[in-house]
This record gives sequence, structure tokens and C-alpha cells, in this order.
Amino acid sequence: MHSQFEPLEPTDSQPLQRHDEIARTTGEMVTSAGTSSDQEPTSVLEPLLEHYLDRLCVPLENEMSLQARLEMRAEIRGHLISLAAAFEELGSAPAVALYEALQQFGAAETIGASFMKQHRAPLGLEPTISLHLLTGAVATGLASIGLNRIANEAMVALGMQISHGEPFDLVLALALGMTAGGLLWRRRKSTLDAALSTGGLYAAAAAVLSVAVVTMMAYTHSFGVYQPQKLALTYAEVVGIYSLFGAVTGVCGSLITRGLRRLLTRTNVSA
Amino acid sequence: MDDGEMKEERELLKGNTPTLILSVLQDAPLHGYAIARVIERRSGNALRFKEGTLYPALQGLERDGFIQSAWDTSSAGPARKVYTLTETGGTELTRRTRSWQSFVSAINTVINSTVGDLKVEDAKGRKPDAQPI
Repeated sequence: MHSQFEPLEPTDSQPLQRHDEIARTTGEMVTSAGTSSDQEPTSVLEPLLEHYLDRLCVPLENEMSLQARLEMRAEIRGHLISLAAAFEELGSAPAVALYEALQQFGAAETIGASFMKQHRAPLGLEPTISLHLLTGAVATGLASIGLNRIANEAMVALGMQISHGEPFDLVLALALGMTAGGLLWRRRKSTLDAALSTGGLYAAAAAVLSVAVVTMMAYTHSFGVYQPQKLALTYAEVVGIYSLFGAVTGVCGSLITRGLRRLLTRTNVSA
Repeated sequence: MDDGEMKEERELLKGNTPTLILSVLQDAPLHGYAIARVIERRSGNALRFKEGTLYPALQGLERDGFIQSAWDTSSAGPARKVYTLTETGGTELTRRTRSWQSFVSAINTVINSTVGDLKVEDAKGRKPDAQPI
């Protein structure tokens, strides 16, 4: 059987009109695709192909609409099946042929990343400061402020504190939220990652602030009025509360970002 | 071909994949797999690349309006997404072709003139007392 991988004869020795060449090539390919299309990968190989496509689509989950991803998946699947069929024609066993096809197609993660880059390009933003990152940072920042207000009001209502909060608290909450969101969404972390990382960041910020306050109190000689153990316990509580607060902020930021991304993707697709 | 040469060629190819796609689509509408085969065939198997890189390039070209796609369900096999060159794509291909030719010509001029200059210098020969000041 004539293989489509057979080297092309020198053009000079066999002059062909371009249309003829295309027709000949595509003719072979349609035949090949037709036969290969009927030869779906065996049930043993199917998971390998699906796993590859899953890996390729991971970076695009929040980038493309489901419809667009399904279409892309179907298109690439067809290409891989045809490619594997061609390798089979050359004598490879089905499993080897599929492996060779995947090799020739390229690393799933790299191709997924290229798709993502292409998809983001119309926004005119560098990939590192993409819309994804901005929505993540803004959403987490807003979630942080909102939760800060809710927590303050709840504590006042419960009689745990008198003040409704200082403007500094809001600025700090926004800065921390945006930093956490920006750092997290640059790498598109999962909700669990968002909770853990934001919690950790808030705890670290609380610890730094605690040290700053203790130092300031020591300088102003007001440190002596507190018992050191009690002070340490208070700051441990502050760090604990902040880490919990950060974790909740991370979850809220993550959910809001995902929602916004879906909305933006849908708008982008429909536009 | 050693690893360095392969890497160099891959980089060159990467930047010119859209031009190759447009050029291939100039003659007939094709699906992704066919585009890869035609490029391979026309280059006499010299241009080997990771075929997955075609699809992001196709997506970019479609987004820019240089090509358009439609699912072909008429053939016996599964539906295939077939790409067609648009009028804007034709103009873009002309522009890219001109730009590529001018680039190659400039590189050739530099390479050839360098070799030529050296030859002229060698032919003249350097005077032993011609020391730099």
C-alpha cells in the first residue's frame, strides 16, 4: 500500500500542477482518514488518547468555552487517529503507532500552553499580566475587603470589639487580597491551593504585623503592662484567625474569579 | 543534523508556520492533518515539526480573519474541520511572502558580501609592515 509518508519524488522529475498535488495528497489523506476513522483506538489505547487530550485541555479550562474545547478536542483527536493509522500502515503495532503519533504531535502541555497564548492574544495583554491574573487579583482583593467588613460587623455585634474597623484595615485587606489573587491566578491554582496559599500569606502578614506592633510597644515602654505569655497567646490567636480568614478569602476569591472568567469567556465567544 | 541545527531549524519554522499554512491553503481548503502532510510532502520531508503546533497557529490565523473554518460532515469518516483562505488571508500571504523574500535576500547579501570581502582582502594580501597604529 502506498504510504503517505513516502518521500516526495523530486519535483523536477515529476512536474505537477499545484492543484493536482493537493488533490493527490488530500485524496490519499481522505482515504487514509476515512479508513482510520473507522478504526477507533482499541479500548486499551482509548484511555491513553483521552489522557493526552485531557492534559492538553487542562490549561484551557478557564480560557475557552466548553463548546470550543470540545470542538478542538474532536479536531485533534481526528488528527491523532489519522496519524496513528499512518504509522500502523508503516508496520507499527497499534500501541506503538499511537505512541509515535503522540510523539510526532508534541507535548500536550506545550500545545495547551500555545493555545492559551493564542486565546489571550486578542486581549493585548502579556500572558503574565493577563485578564485571568487581573480578574483573580481584583476578585480576591474585593473578597478580602468584603469579608473584612463582615467579620468586623459580626465582632461588633457579638461584643468582641467596639470599633467598626479602621480605613487602614480595608487598605491592608485589599492589598493582601490582590497580592494573593495575583500570585495564585498567575499559575491558575485550584480552590484548595487558593485557600491554603492565601491562608498562609495572611498568617505570614499577621505574624509580621504582630512583630512590628510588639517592637513598637517595646519602644514606647508600654510592653511592660502586658504579661509576655498572654501577649504571645494573643498574637498566636491573631495569626490563627488571620490564616483562617485568609483561607476563606482564598476560596471566595477563587470562586468569584472562576465565575468572572466563565462570564468573560462566554462574552468573548459570543462576541 | 545535530541538536543545535535541529533547534535552530525548529525556531525558524516556529516563526514561519502561519506563512506555511497560508501558502498551503492558497491552493485548496484542507483540514489540519492534511495541512501537515502537504507541508511535509512539499518540503521533501525536510520540514519536520511537532504537528500539534499547527493548531494554535490555525486558531491565531482564524482569529485574525486570514482563514475560516467549517466542519465537513459530508465524507464517510468523522467530521473534519476544514480551513479555507479568506481574501484578507490572501493579501496577508502576499505580504508575508514579500517580507520573507526580502529577509532571505538581505541575509544572503550579508553572507555573500562578507565572503566576497574576505576573498578580495585575501587576494590583495596584507603587507607585513602594515601594523595598526
